[in-house]
Amino acid sequence: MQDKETSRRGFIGLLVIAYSSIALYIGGALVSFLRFLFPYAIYEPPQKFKVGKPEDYPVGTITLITGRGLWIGSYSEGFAGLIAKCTHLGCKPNWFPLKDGPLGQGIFECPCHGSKYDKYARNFAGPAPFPLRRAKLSLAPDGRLEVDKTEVLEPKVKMQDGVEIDETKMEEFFLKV
Amino acid sequence: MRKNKINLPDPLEVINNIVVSILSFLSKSKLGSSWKKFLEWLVDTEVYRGAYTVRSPLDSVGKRTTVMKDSLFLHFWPVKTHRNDLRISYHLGMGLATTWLFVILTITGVLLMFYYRPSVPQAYYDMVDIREGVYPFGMFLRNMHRWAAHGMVLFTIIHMWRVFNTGSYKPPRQLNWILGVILLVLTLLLSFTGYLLPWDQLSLWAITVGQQMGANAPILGHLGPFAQVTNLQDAAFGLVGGTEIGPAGLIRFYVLHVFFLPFVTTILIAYHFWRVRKDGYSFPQT
Repeated sequence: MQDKETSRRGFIGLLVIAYSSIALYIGGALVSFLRFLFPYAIYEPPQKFKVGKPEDYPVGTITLITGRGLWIGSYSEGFAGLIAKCTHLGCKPNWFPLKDGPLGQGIFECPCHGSKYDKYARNFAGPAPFPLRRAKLSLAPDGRLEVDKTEVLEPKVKMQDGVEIDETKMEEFFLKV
Repeated sequence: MRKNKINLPDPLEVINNIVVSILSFLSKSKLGSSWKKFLEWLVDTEVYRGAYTVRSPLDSVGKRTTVMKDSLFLHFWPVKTHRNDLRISYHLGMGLATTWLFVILTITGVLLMFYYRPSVPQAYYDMVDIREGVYPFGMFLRNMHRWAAHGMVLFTIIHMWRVFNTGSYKPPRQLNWILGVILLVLTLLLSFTGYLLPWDQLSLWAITVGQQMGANAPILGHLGPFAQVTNLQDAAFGLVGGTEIGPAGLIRFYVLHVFFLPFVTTILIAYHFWRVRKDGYSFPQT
């Protein structure tokens, strides 16, 4: 058996094929390792859920939905699904119904860096840059309130120190029933 | 048996001189001669002959250099050392201190791994058991791990401050500066991942803050500028394994903390040291 002559150009072509196959193999492996970290299913509560009838939430109350990271705020303007995640760095604020805020009693306060929100969850003190985000609320056909945390409303209106902002600007963030 | 004269490489020669002087002080002859016999036996074992390959008399600089370079353990030290290299006012010894802290962290960390279980029902109580004295030396080892971790961050920063002030980052040592910056980031990441493991309120919310930083990363974070991904695909999700910190996040941080990051760090430290040997010290050699 005699060695077949390989031209210089042909040899380089072979090299290119060889090295690109190796690169493809390693690259594919790395991509699949990265993809492995993002599972098809996660064991977390569903993002879309029902929280009971509107009558369960009398006007003027802020009710924590335990395990869902959400308050249902009931106002004269309507209902709001306030996501319990500080807009500063993501800690969970607490609702203090008896502490005084710019709108009278009731403020949200974050234990991490002391951000404060009024009862409409608008920031008025501390490092929080925006009001709390809101999950989309709707009325399900069976008459119960339905929360969809995948649809997040961001009322990016900064409240001036101690001065209320225009209420009409907040209108779209309430569910009227 | 080899008949020719024993030629000892430097470190063994030093040990020999010390031991011989002690022995001759203690007794005149008996112990001294058995020590000599022991040495003769030692340098003739296969292990020793494999480890130190130079057999001829060390009568030139080249041969001494070869002894250093051919042995795994001796090559950690420089072949020759200038007086200035040993002055602590030049180097502050911070690189060495950082390395030893990494060794301490590895040893204490491995010991803690015998009792700590990285799952939500157990993690906090295992940490409390270690801390509150269920296991002998548990509190000591945990505190050692904790303080060494703080110290490693501090000493790494002082080390970089020293390198900056002595201009040791300049060519030909620019690669080692880059490696050093990566090692600083790895040190901080090790601290960050270790922070979650006690699984108390402090760690939970501290890591929530870190997760939020991932979510605000440009392009790769779902809240960041130019976001290209949803909250189920972004960097914060990859780090925590969920939309918020839970069982998946704990095990991810554990694996990063006890395997992935130390593995990378060890390799980079070895490379960092190798470059120090190849580039030499930057201190004035006069």
